[in-house]
Amino acid sequence: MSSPVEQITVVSSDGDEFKMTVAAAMQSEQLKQMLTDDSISIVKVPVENISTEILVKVIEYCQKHADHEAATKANGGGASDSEAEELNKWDAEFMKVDVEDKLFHILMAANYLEIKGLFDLACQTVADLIKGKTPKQIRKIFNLKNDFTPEEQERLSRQHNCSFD
Amino acid sequence: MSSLRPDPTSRIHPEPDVVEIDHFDRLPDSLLLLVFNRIGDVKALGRCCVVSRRFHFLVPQVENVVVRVDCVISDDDSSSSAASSDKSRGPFSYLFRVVFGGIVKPLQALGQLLGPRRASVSSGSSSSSSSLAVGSEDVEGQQGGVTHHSPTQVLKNFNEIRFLRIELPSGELGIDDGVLLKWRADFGSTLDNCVILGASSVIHPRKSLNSQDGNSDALCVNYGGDDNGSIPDSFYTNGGLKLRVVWTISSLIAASARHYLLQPIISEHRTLDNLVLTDADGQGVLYMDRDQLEELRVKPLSASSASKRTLVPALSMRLWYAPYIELPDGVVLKGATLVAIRPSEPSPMGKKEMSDLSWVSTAFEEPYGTAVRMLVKRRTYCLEMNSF
Repeated sequence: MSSPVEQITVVSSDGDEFKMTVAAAMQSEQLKQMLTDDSISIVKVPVENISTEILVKVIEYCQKHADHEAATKANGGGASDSEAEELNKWDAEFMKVDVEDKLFHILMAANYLEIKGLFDLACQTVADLIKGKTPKQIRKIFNLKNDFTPEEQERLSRQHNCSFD
Repeated sequence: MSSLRPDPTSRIHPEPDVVEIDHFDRLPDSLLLLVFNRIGDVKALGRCCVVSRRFHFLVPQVENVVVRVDCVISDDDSSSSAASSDKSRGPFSYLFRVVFGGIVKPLQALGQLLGPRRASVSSGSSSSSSSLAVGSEDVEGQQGGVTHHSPTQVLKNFNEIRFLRIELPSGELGIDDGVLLKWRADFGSTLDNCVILGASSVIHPRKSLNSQDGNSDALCVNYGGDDNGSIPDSFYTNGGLKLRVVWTISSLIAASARHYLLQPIISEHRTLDNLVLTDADGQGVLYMDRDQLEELRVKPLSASSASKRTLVPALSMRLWYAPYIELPDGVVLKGATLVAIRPSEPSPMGKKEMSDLSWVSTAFEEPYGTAVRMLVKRRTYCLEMNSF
């Protein structure tokens, strides 16, 4: 008979341990499955794919959203417009991360742990970075190589009617 | 959520030693596609096509596309308007303009086929027909001007579109300031249903509301003492009825013209689940779901004889009227009219009974949804209209 768990520990790929409240952990479908499965008694969850740096960010997101959900429930139902607005602002600030360093790592961590809100947010952030940019700018932001041959460039720029720059 | 996970043995952490990392390399194709599906804008996706080979390979698989039409290129102003205009405008459109005057902008600019036209530079060339155009950036070396492509051309790159949304720059129907006119039409091979909401004037609440306003509770005010929902007699003589007929016919014409335009796109993109053709003014929305799209492919539309639009079948209409409605956000609609339209002949799909009005209440988003729900409680008037 396992006693009710209030916190779980997650271990990053670097070996660092972090405590997460159950509420925060439930933001992740993966962790939620483990927590609601009575046959598993959890002590520590290794997340091999996620480094300390990224895991810290992910936990921060989960905790914030768990707190928001709890506050909403306490207020008896739907979040008010201003509360939703405030959370959106927080999310926007949260996602102001270095593309180089963190953005893609967060996206993949959210995918791995199945944190829908964070995954959607990260995808949308990348999409927004692409929108409105020229191909050259897109390559620059994401460090992409233009791997077309000159002939291909010629043909494609006519076909899509935009310059490669 | 993607069910495809990145290779678990690869570690997700920044590698400070490596300078030139392709960030997208870390993402499997399925995740990259999810990102592309959030871009929507077809021009942005077009630019993605030329970023790298991988992008070029993936973009045609995008399912979710939004096409913003930049302009409706009308017939040349430079060439003699009489000659070129007659060529492309049918007698009905002409008649329409004469009869309905300033209410409706000429629809001929809209009523042209989206053919597989070659891109033409808008400045200088004489386009023999008008069309919808999606502008694109200058190609290096081209002298000024923006080249235009039809939506059909622009969508040729995409093979797996499921959700397509096309936005016209503005509504087709020119209406006076303060008048409200919105329509929503669902089409299969022909019109399935159409809902029109209009008001002869819309009054927005002033910022400082008198808090002692005694009418704050009543949403539908007795105006002139008549509250059985009936249309007042004056309506028939003061031009009120004529105006509503004009609204109805012009909305149906706009809707059927849009439907006609979509044929080439629909026949080419068989993966479509959902198609929406709207405009930046929010005036009219045309919807087609998967079944309706398939119906059109199987049973081609009947075109109206003179103009480039789908034939509108014989119709049964229900009309409701309220002289004065106040919406929850304080907006006031005067002379509010709701028209719910279905073909007189039940469709083969046999979806909805005329008596079931759920499709009417869900036609518009708030705040107009509330206006609709208030109007349907009033007295119903039934009308019939011939096919046109």
